[in-house]
Amino acid sequence: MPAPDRGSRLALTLAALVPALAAGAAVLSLGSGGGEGNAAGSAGAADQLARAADRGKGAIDPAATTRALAPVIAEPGRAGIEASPLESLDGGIRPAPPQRIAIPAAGLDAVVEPVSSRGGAIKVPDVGRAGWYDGGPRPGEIGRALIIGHLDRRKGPGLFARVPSLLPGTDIDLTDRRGEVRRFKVVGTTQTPRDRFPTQYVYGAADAPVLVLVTCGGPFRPGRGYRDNVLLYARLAERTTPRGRAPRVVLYRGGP
Amino acid sequence: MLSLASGLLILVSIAPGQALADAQVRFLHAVPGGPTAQLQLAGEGGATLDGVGFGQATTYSRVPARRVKLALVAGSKRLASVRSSFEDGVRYTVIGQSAGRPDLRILRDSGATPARARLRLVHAAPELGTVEMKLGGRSLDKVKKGEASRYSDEEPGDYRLTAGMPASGDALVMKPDLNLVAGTAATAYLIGSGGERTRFVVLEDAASGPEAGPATGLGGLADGDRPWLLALVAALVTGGLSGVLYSRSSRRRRRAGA
Repeated sequence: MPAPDRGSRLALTLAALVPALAAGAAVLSLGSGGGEGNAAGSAGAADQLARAADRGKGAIDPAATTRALAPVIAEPGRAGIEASPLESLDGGIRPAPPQRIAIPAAGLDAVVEPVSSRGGAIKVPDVGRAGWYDGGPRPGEIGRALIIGHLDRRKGPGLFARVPSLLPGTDIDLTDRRGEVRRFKVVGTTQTPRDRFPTQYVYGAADAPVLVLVTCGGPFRPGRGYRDNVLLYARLAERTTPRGRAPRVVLYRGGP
Repeated sequence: MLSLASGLLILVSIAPGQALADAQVRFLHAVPGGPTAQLQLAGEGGATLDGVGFGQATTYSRVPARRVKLALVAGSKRLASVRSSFEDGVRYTVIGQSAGRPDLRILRDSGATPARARLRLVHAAPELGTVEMKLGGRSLDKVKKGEASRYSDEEPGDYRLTAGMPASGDALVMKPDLNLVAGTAATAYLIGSGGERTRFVVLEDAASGPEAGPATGLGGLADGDRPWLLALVAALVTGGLSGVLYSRSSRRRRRAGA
């Protein structure tokens, strides 16, 4: 059998590349989509993050976040005194509903509109706006306040496109309808299947004012949307009145 | 009065031959002077919940929804028993209480109302008579010993909850920092006496919120990131190119052979 000439060798080499490229495509396809990974066991991670956001202590799943935050509460005249984060920061006056959300690190500054539930799910806000679930606590109240936003539009990124990648300690500012600004600090994020939404760790009572941001994550399935939700937990760090006076400041330091 | 040297045990035995579905049950230990107690679920699908001390409650546990027999047991001795039905999808609180002798009370816990805070009051302090419960100075209800009020829908916020004699208006028991959270239902249990400090224990019964996660993505990021499509095109081009090269080289070989 005659040895193949140079042209045939090249043709055979290229032909061999076809299945290799196809296999590479499959691998790339599986690995793409921005942190879609394995969402199994995320209810446990949500539980840990919810507890950490509540109390500012406790073990954090390294897979869910990188670092816990331990609160050090300082007030005018009481600097350096550590106090329980369980104390109410607002006394008997309810915060007003939220009006704007700003995350400077993500270049985000948007209107927040109230959204309610419809057909067993939270009604989704307009693409360019965030939605506050008005069936639950207001941001700044003790309990878990829920704000949702789009990961992406039909073409290009959405309002919450960078939320899944926010690091612990990142500032999130919520301005309410009275003009008061409440600054929350990110505790961590986790990812959970959308059809197994961990309601017990998203809604309801907490020991402190907690903010939960929710957007989509995981692989996109045409006609069915994204498979997962990304949950970001943050806790109240600071409140500023419209006049700029800070009646109470809670500083955060790196935790265990 | 109970002598609970070896601890209390709530025994729940399930009648056989009934359909299994899920209810949720938790146990509140309100027997003054009692050491650690347990909620035990006997029979098919039975389980034993964590032990709790006076004034403590377990979290909800899923149990088969069916006709059950509950028994209050100290060590191996049954102190009280009661029959009840657990319904599918319903939450219950079983209170171990004492009014001269051990008693069991089963309360059906309510769901929550969006944007409102639901509150129920339960009187489980055996040495106090009827008390008037006030929320933020406003009279909520007069509750007899061993009984429960209805749920009332309240404005969320921080309140002072008090219990006092109906005639005097003086507060005998006070919880100064009751936080009522929007979208939740809670029960304030008045417990104590028999050597135990009388106080309120507040437990969350339910939180309101949709079961499904929000659909907050339209695929714009996924559309811009399709490596499989790119690879498919590359593979087709490569395949076509190799075919052309192979046919050319074959033609050249045939010419050389001729």
